[in-house]
Amino acid sequence: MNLWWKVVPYLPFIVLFMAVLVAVYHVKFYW
Amino acid sequence: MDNTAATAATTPLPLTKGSLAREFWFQQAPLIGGALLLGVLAAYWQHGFIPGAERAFPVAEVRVPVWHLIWMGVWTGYTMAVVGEAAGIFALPYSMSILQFVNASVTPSTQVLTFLNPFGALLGFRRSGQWNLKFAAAVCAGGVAGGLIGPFLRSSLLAAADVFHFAVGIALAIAGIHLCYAAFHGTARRPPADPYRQKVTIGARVHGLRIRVSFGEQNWDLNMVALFGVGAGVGMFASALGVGGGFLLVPIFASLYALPMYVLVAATIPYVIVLSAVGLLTYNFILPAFGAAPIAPEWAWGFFAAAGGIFGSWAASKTQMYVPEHFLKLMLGGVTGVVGALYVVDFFHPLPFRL
Repeated sequence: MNLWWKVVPYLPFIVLFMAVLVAVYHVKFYW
Repeated sequence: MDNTAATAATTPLPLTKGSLAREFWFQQAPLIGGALLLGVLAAYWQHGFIPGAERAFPVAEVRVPVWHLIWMGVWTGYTMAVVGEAAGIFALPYSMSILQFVNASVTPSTQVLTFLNPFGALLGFRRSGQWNLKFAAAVCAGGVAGGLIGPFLRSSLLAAADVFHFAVGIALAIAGIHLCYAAFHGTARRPPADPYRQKVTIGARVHGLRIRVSFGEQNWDLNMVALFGVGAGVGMFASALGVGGGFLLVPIFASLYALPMYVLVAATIPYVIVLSAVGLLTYNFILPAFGAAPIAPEWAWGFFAAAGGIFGSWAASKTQMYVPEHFLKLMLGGVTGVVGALYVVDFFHPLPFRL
């Protein structure tokens, strides 16, 4: 539970970082 | 506009781990499951198979795994809802530039997402009392008018890919500037009493062509003809692009009428739903009725993305108050503005890379 509260403020940045990774993966393998 | 007056007459709404789980399983999960099921059914109905990584989406003409579409909905819905925007303004350029969905069908396909995405938020705001259909009526009527006209602009003025990219670039630049501005000028996003725990009431009384909107001891006197005009103007532009219109409507309401975010959502969320529904109707049925070719959406694309978007925007509504909103707005505003500027520059001077 403590870890959750520590992660929540960074969640949007984690999500954005993952979005960039998935976008790079898509460009590399599907373009 | 004294925000301290916004405490209003309140009723406590307990927000516990159990109530969150109940809310998710009884309210959100059926919506998400329904959108996924509609995606599967739509794929079989439209194409006779489920497109994805192996077989291209026939309308979109691109291969993309279904999980990627769901993920697109999750991340665009989450990050944009955290800063008070809707998924469409991010999902549209992502579909165009990363997933390479470049034909005209990207517009109605994104509108399937913008139609379904706000339902989770609508239920949440209704639960917290941020709901008044009288207040929403005039701007939604404008949205109906705009949603009927916008698709005709898409099939004529914005038919060429480069002109459409240019128009999307302008929209992104506006959204980027708004986000950066909001990062530096804190808008009243929520009343001091936590709206996630307190039930509030938004009132509206109609006097002739004017409407008096009230929240606690705060009042705003609005002209319904102007609300209709704003709704129609925003609706034309937004439905021509394939976005919900919140990126324009929110800054207009906030700057022109000084409406705080916790009040204006009562009008903007139903507006996005109405505009998207009318836009979809026009793209599919009204365009051909007037002799223009219909622009069919890739229905499954929209439904799969919407399933992720519903979860993303719900998750954002539950975590929004814990994230550093101003820094995030600045970052997202910067990225959105730069992408918008690239689209605009590309129109005048083609860039050496694909956009």
